[in-house]
Amino acid sequence: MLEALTDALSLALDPSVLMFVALGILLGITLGAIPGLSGDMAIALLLPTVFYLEPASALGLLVGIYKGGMFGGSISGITFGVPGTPGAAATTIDGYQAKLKGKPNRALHTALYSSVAGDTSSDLILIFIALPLAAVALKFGPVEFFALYAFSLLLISALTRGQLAKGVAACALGILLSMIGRDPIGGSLRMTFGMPELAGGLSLIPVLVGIFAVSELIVQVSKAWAAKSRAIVEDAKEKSKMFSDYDAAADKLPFRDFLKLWKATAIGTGTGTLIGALPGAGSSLAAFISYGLAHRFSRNGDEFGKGSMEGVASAEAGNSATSGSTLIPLFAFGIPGSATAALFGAAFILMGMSPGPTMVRDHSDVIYALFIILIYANLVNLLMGKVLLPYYSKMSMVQPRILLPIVFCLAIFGTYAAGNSLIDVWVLLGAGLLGVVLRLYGFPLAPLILGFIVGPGAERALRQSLLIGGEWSYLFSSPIAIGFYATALGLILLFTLLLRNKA
Amino acid sequence: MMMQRKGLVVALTAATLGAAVGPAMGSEGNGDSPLGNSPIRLVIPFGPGGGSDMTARVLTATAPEFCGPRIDVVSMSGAAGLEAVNYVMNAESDGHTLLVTDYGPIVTSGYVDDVEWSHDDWDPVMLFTEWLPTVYTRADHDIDSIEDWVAQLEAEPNSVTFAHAAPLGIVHLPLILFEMETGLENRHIPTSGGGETRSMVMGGHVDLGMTLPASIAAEVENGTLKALGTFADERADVLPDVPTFKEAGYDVSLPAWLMIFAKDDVPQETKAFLQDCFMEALATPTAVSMSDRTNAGIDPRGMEASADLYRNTVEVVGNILREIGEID
Amino acid sequence: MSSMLRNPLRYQDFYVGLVLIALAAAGLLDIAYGNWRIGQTMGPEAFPQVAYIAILMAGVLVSTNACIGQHDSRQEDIVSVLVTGVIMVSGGVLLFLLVGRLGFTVTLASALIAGSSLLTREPLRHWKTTILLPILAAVVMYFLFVQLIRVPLASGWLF
Repeated sequence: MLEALTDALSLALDPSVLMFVALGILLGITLGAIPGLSGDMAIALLLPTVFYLEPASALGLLVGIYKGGMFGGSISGITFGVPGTPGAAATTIDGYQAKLKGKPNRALHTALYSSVAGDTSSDLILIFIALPLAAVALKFGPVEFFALYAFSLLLISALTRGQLAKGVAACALGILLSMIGRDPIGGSLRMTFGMPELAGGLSLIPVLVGIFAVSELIVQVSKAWAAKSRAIVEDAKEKSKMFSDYDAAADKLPFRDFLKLWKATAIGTGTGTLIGALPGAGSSLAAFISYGLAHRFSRNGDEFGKGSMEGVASAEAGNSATSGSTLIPLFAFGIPGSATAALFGAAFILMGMSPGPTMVRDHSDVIYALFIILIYANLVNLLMGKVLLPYYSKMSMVQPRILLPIVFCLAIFGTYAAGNSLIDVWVLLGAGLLGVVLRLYGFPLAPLILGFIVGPGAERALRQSLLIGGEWSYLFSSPIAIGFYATALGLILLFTLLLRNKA
Repeated sequence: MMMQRKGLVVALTAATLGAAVGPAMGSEGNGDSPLGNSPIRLVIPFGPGGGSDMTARVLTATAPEFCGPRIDVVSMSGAAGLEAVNYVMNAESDGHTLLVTDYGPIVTSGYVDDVEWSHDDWDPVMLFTEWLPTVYTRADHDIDSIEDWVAQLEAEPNSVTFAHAAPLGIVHLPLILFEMETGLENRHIPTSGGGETRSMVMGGHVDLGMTLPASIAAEVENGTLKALGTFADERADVLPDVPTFKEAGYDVSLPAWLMIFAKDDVPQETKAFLQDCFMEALATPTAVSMSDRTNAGIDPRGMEASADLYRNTVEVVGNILREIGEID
Repeated sequence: MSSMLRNPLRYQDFYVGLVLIALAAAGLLDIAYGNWRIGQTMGPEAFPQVAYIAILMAGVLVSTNACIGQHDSRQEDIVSVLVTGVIMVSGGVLLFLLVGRLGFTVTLASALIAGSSLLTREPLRHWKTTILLPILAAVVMYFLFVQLIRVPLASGWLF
């Protein structure tokens, strides 16, 4: 094994591999920052290069894109309020608020550090504990998954400022939107109103970017229009000024301050790693659950939703911590647990390796090289992030009148490019209008996205459980499931009591 | 000043990215072929990275030399594949926009979905490969063979849970056909795809699953999974020890296939040219090695053989759908 | 007790609650009389039904909260935001449709110029930011989407 390790080191630390990693990260960050586009897309586009490159270089490129993409999504989320990738949606909640308060740099750095922290832990777990964790993941069948999804619905309260009833309504609306299309069990069409275009349902990216981002853009545009119409500001100030007043010196994040966020980051990392290892769960769910749990256990819970760095750290750590663990089912069983894992699986196949436990045994030098690359790519990500972030912070302060049209068009074409689907564009715009209406009447948006993400999985898991078990009691036949329900009940009781005590 | 410099930086970055990535996009072809210079688009109604995508990319790499223009694979999974099919249907009938698909989005969809085209509007240009649906289970399960399965169901009807992706999809219809033939009933557990099916089988949450051989070949070899039978006329190349249902005495065969379709009003000479240049490309050593590496199992067939298979599938699928009441 | 009850009709949230109730009612009626397939143990209508019931209860809560004075404050600029929204969405649709006719870069550049100009007071004076920068942005996006990613655009409009 030692020999394989030394082979791997020489493979992984080759300068050309380092170059590909850096290129990949640059590509990933850039594409991830564009709403609608994601690292997955870049990986899919560049899969053919795997044929022409050395295995380590190819892996370096793909790993770089992946990691860069994960972080890139939150750049766009923080600077423009438009999550660049679904996983960045939770980061945007507090990140964008922070930018509106003049602290984009602080938020971006928080996101960067927590992203790297979560990513590195997740990679270490992949490398050292993949197999036992995979065995646990296999124990998750329909019954356990339903318990997990039911548990995550608790987060509605964490994601709602104001009336809980409106949060519940938003979540239910999200669930309804996710049911449009074909019933996953019976195959019949639901709520398509006779439009065959809706037979495939609504995709996550157009709904997410539409509800969060397009609606925000609409609100900002109307503010910009109002500002233009009001004859207040002197022309002198407005000359050819591109940037609004921004005091970069006051907007820094000393490392000391980041260390204070250790609790939120740890919660995010742990949650993200666990959820990432479950096939099918997804990075946005991990991010939301991390955010919700951090909110519940934070001393400054009231700050969440108003630009709290804890909010940013927990969400981003949760998102990035799925990166290594999502590959666990692939390595352990050859089962891709997410679209990204499937793409990596395809890359392994193209390199002549068949994903699964035999991969580590039969190609130990390449796989160990991959592990080494995974770790140091995080460092490169950190370095590149530190270099690029000041530019992004500055860019975020470009005057809205210039920025808004560009971001709007990027959102439209980025979403189109994500699936090559015209329907996605119409859904994007429709969701944008819905998002605006919801904002105006005081409904929180995050629960809607939560409902949309959780709905299909929850329904499928529940109905599969009933088909397998035959009756409702089957849902309580698993200790893992009971564990989730008990914890959920416990949390509800705990916080109701706490609220009573406060009052 | 700052803004102009920023613009320059942006432009340079874009150019570098383009230059770095350009060659990976597929080789430029030679200019003097009957198909001209504009690229050929192979449209697949599924997401990127899957079996169809990987197989089609073999042509991207090898065919431009023989066919002329560049070849792009475009993945359009919207509206469960309907968008891709419509995109090809609405494109020019010049042979530049082709559909690469299995029978779901074209045969099954043509029956159950509200579409404006019919099965006769499509002509296969060639077949890449046949995919043979295979029933499998985990290694330590009681059921060891097709006979065991049948015996269990005869003793206790509905006692076996069977996971499959997509209701009425290519790994579900063979099961329905088998049940129609034998009168036996399993409990069908639809899943979100091959990955979920495999997790559920390996985790012991369901008894049996059905999938395509390439995804379980490695596991069957190292003993993690057992393959029970294949719904085809002949055994799968990657699973030579697994009997077909026909061998076991059940006249049930419903292979899936990956074909390239053109609209029927594309000129016959164009279709013939495409068939020839694609088949030539797939016979090259590069293509063969790519196919081997990815377990794509490319075994091409020309227009006539494909058309026969297509018509046969249309008929069989139509019968099944009518029998279960999905269509009249 | 009577001092807690305000005239509900004055508060926006009361109507919001009513809209939710109406939506839920419509949905439940659709499930009851519409074309839904029967399923074993739990059919395709079950989850939507639960969601509609949740919306119904939420609607009732929101309306009653408005009656006892707990409600969200009215936003000042509802109409202007909605109008902006409709205009932007129509613009987006138009943009997409025109890209096929007039070409990607031209349409995009025009859209960006129009957008920036509308939001800038004295757009011609600030031509560097309202005209030059949008054109540059359009060119970059052309490289990104058409050359690099090769999105299929133009011919073959669907649906």
